[in-house]
Amino acid sequence: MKRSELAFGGADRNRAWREALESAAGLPAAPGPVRALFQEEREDLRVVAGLDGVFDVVHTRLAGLSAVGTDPSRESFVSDPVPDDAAAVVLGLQLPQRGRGEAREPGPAPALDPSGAREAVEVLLAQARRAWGGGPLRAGARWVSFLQSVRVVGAGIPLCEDERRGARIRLEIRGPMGQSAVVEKALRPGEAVDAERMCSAAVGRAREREGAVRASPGEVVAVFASGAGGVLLHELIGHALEADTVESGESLLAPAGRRVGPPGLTVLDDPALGRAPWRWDDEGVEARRVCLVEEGRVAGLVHDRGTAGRAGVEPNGHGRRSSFQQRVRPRIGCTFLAPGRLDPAEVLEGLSRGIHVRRIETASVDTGRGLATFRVTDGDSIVNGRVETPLLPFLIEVPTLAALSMLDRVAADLAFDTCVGSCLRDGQPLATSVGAPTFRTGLVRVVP
Amino acid sequence: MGHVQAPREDRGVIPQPEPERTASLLSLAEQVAPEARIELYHRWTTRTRIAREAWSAGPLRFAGCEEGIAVRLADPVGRWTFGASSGAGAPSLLWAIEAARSSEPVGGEEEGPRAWGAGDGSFQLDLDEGPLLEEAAMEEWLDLALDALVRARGGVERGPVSGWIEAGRTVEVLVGQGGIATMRSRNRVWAMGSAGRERPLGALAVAARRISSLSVDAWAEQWTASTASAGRGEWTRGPVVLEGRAAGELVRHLAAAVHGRGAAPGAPVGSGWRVVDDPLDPDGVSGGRFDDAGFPAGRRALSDGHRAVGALEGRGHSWRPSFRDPPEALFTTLLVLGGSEEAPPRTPRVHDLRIHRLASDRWVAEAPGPTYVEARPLDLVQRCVSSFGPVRRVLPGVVSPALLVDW
Repeated sequence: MKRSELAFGGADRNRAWREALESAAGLPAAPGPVRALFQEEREDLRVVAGLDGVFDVVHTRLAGLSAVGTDPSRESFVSDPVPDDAAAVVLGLQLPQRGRGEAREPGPAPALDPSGAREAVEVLLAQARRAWGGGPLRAGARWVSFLQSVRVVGAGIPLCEDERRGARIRLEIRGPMGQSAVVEKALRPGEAVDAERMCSAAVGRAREREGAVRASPGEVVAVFASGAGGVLLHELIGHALEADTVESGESLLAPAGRRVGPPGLTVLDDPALGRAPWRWDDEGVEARRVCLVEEGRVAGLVHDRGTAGRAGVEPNGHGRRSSFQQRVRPRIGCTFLAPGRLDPAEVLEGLSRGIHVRRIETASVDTGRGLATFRVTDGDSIVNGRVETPLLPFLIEVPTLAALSMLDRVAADLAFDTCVGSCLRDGQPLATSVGAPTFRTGLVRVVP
Repeated sequence: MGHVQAPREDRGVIPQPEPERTASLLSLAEQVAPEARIELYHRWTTRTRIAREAWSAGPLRFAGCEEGIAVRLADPVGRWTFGASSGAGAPSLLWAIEAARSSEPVGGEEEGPRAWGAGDGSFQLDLDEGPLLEEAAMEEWLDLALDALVRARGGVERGPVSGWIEAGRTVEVLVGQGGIATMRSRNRVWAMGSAGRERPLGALAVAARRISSLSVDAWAEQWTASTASAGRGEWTRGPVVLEGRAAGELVRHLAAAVHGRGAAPGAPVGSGWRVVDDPLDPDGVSGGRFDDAGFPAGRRALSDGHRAVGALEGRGHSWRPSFRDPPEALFTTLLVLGGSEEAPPRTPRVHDLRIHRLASDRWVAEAPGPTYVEARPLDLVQRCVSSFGPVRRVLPGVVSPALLVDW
């Protein structure tokens, strides 16, 4: 058995589930073997203080079981299962829900702490107002955390357990003169919110942005600040090298070995480094670091069991689903650009005109045509090698191959999670991370 | 292809309204949390998805049930806490109550739509008891739709074309102290198709309450039209006809900007902007006679072609995206009225659109090409000059004719 030590769920309940799942996986299923069972228990907490002053605290539990059973083309799921349901779900039966609740053992007690999260949000808001130093200020904050236990077992798949958790906090402030700033922080287990530091950064940046101007449209050289450029790599390279995208002929970057960038360009995906890391994926495969682009050439894909099997390669632990109600897909987890050797200031040197991208809020990519758009909510103009005037939010369009081929300066200051978001693919959200050092690329287009 | 199971062995588990169960849970909740006013919301859904992927010779099926319960506990001044759990038995209820109790309360009676309704304890019914869609009918529709998509692309093989259709039934029961008791059931059908690189702005989704409302021809027409859409540089500013999905996308964003929560009525609008929010739309996938906080819901006029006359506030507009969300003010089906005028000749036509909101008052619209055009929503809504042609249900939650916009 492969097991992360599960603190979540309770010893007796965990034991009952292990026995039931292993027993169901061993059912003499005719005509084919049971491919896999997936069982999860998840707790989510969201504390939101809106800019309009409205508070929301949402604390929920999600539990479910799914299985690909005797018919490999059919997957069944049921919510709030009891261990005895495992065998029935393997057989492809939908189970009656209503009334079974009385018979089940109590689930784990709520483990996340809404009072603590709310206090963190309120402290952050109070600190932001203090740091602002009086005068009108609109401030909002959001805390999001989750805790999830997952079990996977199946034919040829030993029982595997994984426990995942993640927490993040975001502060947004808006002053009366158009000043605005957002600061986010992904919190590692046990890490406290440094309200003073977050608020100092937010207030300082908001004041700098008071005179923000519009970005000039057109093609321009862009320097991505440490951390922020990870979003670019996530879209341009990560999504294009998810194996099902390549399989369906929708990736401009395929096939392996293709040169897509200069020799110094190396991009990796490592779920263990993410803000919501996983050790085992949702198919019981150990998550491995995948080198997507090595020294400028396409080197690997992220696979689930299905795409790996069809490609005749080993899966690499990137099969994820947003819940038991969704099918597994290959997903990138924490995509990052390997650091170079330059000082960040050297990346700017000699650049007569360009843009400096500090923050990206949303992005999308057409992996087939190789064209992505990014909503840049914080950036500056660059003039003669210096970061100068803050810019109002703008949109950039980035052609994949041109941008990668012109990615020519990479600093050593690799940072993760300065832009924290969830990746939405096929309607399935996933808590992902991105990382990058400061780097520059020669071709983005500010639109319109 | 492996063993094929007999169709739908799950007839015994199709959700049926059983209000007495939720009512009995309310009694239990009253014993456990006597200090609070209590509201319980119970949702039970069954659904089946049939998908076709480029790599799979046959269809893939994904089916199951989900059930959950949500609790709001209110204090004497109307502030409340929220918790929700999968399942609907006593352990799930107790988990949700414990989660709600561990939070500090939010809101208050002054928030109106975030409170819950009252009643005399007798159930208000809003039931849609049609038969659940058979898998064979779903598969047939999906194959016709994907074949139509292939034809629309002008191709001879499916290639990267993929898609899915999903059908299901949801039963929801809301009970609360103060006598509120409502019950709703809904059948729904969703479908989505993608032709990969042929469609830069994403997959095409449609939704309705019954499969007969999902027209394969209309779906395919969207794809055909998209390839004929104005390309890069052909439309940069000035009059443009937004058809199908492009109209739907603009309507969805403009409605949120001009009629969303907190919007003040009175803003001037163009004569083509006559919009209502209609939770009673018989083919709407959301909405109903009562909102998800138990208040009566009804059609609300948002604009009359001269000015904004309504906004998303007040009771009757609170909906829950899932049992794990507390009720919030949301549109149901946005219906654009009109559609009788003639389309102007030689005007660029755009069939697909994506709105990027750079700020609340500054957008960039992305059309195929791609073409990017900037706009201010409050200006744009005044430039909705007219609407024409039949109304189309091309995006979930929007029913609109083509719109002529002087961009």
